[in-house]
Amino acid sequence: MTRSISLFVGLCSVLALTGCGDDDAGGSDAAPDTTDIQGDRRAVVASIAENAILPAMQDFARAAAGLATAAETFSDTPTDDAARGAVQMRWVAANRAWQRVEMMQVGPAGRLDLTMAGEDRRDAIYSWPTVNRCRVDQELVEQAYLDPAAFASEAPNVRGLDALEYLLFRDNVFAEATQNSCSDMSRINTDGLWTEVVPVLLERRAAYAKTAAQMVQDDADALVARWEGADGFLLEFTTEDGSVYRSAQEGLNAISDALFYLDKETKDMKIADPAGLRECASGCEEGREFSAAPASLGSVAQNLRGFRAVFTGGDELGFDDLLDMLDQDALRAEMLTDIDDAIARADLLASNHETLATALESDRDGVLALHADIVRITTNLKTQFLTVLDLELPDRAEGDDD
Amino acid sequence: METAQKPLADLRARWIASAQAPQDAAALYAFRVLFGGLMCASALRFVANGWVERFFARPTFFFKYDGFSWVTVLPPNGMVALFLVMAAAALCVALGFYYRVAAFTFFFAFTYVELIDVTNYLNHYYLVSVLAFLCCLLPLHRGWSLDARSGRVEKSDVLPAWMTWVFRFQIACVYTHAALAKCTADWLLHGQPLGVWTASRAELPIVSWVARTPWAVLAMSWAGFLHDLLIAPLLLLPRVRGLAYAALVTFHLATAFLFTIGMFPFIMILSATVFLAPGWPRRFVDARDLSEELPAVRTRAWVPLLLTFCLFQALFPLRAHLYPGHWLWHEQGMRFSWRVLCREKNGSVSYRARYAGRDHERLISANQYLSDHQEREMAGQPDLIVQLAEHIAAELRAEGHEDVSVRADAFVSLNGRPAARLLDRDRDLLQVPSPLFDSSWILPAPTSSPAPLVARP
Repeated sequence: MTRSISLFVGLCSVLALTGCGDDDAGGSDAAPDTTDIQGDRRAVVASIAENAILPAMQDFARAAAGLATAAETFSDTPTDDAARGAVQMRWVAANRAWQRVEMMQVGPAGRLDLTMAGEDRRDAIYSWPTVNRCRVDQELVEQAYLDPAAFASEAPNVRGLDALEYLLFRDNVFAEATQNSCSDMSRINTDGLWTEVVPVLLERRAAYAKTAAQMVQDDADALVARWEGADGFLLEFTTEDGSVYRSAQEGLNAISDALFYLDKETKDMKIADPAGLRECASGCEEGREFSAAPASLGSVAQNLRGFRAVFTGGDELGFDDLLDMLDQDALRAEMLTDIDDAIARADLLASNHETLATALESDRDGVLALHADIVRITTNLKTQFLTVLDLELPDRAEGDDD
Repeated sequence: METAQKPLADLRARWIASAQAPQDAAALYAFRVLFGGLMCASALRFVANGWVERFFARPTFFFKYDGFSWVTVLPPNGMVALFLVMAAAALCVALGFYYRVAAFTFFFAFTYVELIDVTNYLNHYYLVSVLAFLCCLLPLHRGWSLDARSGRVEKSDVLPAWMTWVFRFQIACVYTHAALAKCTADWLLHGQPLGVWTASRAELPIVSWVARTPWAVLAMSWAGFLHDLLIAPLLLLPRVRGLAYAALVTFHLATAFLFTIGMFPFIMILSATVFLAPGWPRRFVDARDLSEELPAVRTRAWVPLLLTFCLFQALFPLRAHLYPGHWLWHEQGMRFSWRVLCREKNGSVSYRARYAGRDHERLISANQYLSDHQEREMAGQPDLIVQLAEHIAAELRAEGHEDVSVRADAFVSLNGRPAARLLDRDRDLLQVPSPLFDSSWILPAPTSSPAPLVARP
């Protein structure tokens, strides 16, 4: 009897551990088959990296090159309204491209302290919400941008897309050139330094914008170069022996971490805060995205497009296909519908209103509906999506469980 | 009457004699050495991995246990110092150096750390506290210790059998309650959450095959359940003990390989050594045959305390079944119940506050207060959702707001089911009955099936 029991328990334990490995060994396809579910995940990770993330970064690099060219022309003719209009359009195009990349802060673009293989490259290009417009005004006084090499060591928030927004669309913020973003107690105001700048403000803005746009282009090219090439970061996703992600699941988790931008940044900071749905303690106005350029609604739409690109693997193999493989077609369909609905609503709002602020004045219900659309996406993202794919929330790579 | 009482009296006398019978103490001394060493390594690992900063310095809000709201976190340097004290105490336990002081120090330090934040609760942390508590009570330093060598304590090669029994009972409780926790339709009929877990770990060759073979996932689920249910009784049978222990070791090493469960598998592997023959370590060290003459041993039995302890360990974990609804969903009574690795759950919670003078609800994100780790843990545990609601209300009142109420949109996906509301969106969370005694304020579990197991070619 005891022998039977021990045999039974031994069998169960072995079964628990090996998953009936004998069947594998005895079948005609005896070699371990790792090409199926894990192969699916590996293929999905590679596809998202190749067809969504890298193309988005390349798009941005092209847009950044256009911005740099237009900024150079603007610096040659700072009083020419057409040149200023052209560079503003180029900034809008570059920002649209970047807002898709915002959803893809994986690897080198990610934060050094929160992302696997993060190199903080995103902040050099776009540092929001860490913005400081007073510092940009101070730079206009100090003209450190005249030495690009030295200027590169300045804080990211005086030389990225957010600083450029303020430089190029400054007229939307202040009615008078004599105004600036620093307090009355700031040295540029107490010492009369700003007053000296006012007569040459247009020239300085254009020269500053030229340097900053060139640096954005350089950073964009460097980011793309970091991904491409024989030893580019793309290999971490496309080959099985990448050194950063120990498994396809870790790569998948890194990509899903990036999608959480839609929850904190897009839903909460870009919509709920300006709509007054949340309240923050201090510095909210200063940290609000795009108070100068008419880009707030477009940025939300582009964030959603970036999310969709990652979710669908750039309409190739993506999370949606992985959900299908796991018989989660209802979740897949629901999430895709929610994403498309949100994009359509954001586009509609952007076509009817110049900014989120004006939309809130004349179509608050529309903005709230957009918020609700995004809540539906993020609720599924944080619940069933994470559960069926066994993904972790961001910033939870270490620690025990049981 | 007298004749009816006699067999009972005889039985009691025999039981007491067996309990008091001297037994080779080598296994218990080895347990002390291994447990102390492992705990020392655990405490140092916590510091080395930067987890003190992560779990105790970064968060600004900590979830309290009922009755332990007075436990507060030390400043970051104080927490690091505490972990170092814990490591030193554990090392002293291993060495048997001022053992009693060291055991009490370790027990209190570890339990204090465990009580700081509910979201840090892990079954194996609780097990460590329980084992440390037993170490405090029992004289496991009478042999193989610096205390015995220096004469600070009377040296003895034997201890009464009941001391081994207590440890065995405790470990059996862990496995048995863990088995009961797996006795659900999700685990036994749907193969979840094992199906989800194997699919995400399919880079391992054999697991890859299991992940695409539904019956293998189900077989693995049943094997896990039967392992937990039968391992303790089998370890008590001398003829199969060796095989059972080998199976246990293999099982726990496999879980260590598959899951991020830290020291748990190793704690179980070393704790289960108490089921082995009392003299098993003498095959390796201090080889002597004590089977011939075992000297009597004089100890205090702490009988009422130990009986209370055993009753508590047997019954307290069952309280989850007293609440209406499914405990996997409402999670009432989940803690301190050895419900180990039995569900995959993710939630999303956002709060809505109302107060006098505000015409629309104010949204409050949990991430304003919590780390991602805390937010994830809270999102599936209704009592913690209420606790944060109370904290939010207290803050709003401190800001001068009156007539405060707090509601939540809380959605949970359990074992891959579509997300469902956990709480009534219109219920003021400040008005729920005591979460400890009532679960009626939690919405019923969804009736849908968990994620299906997918057959793949």
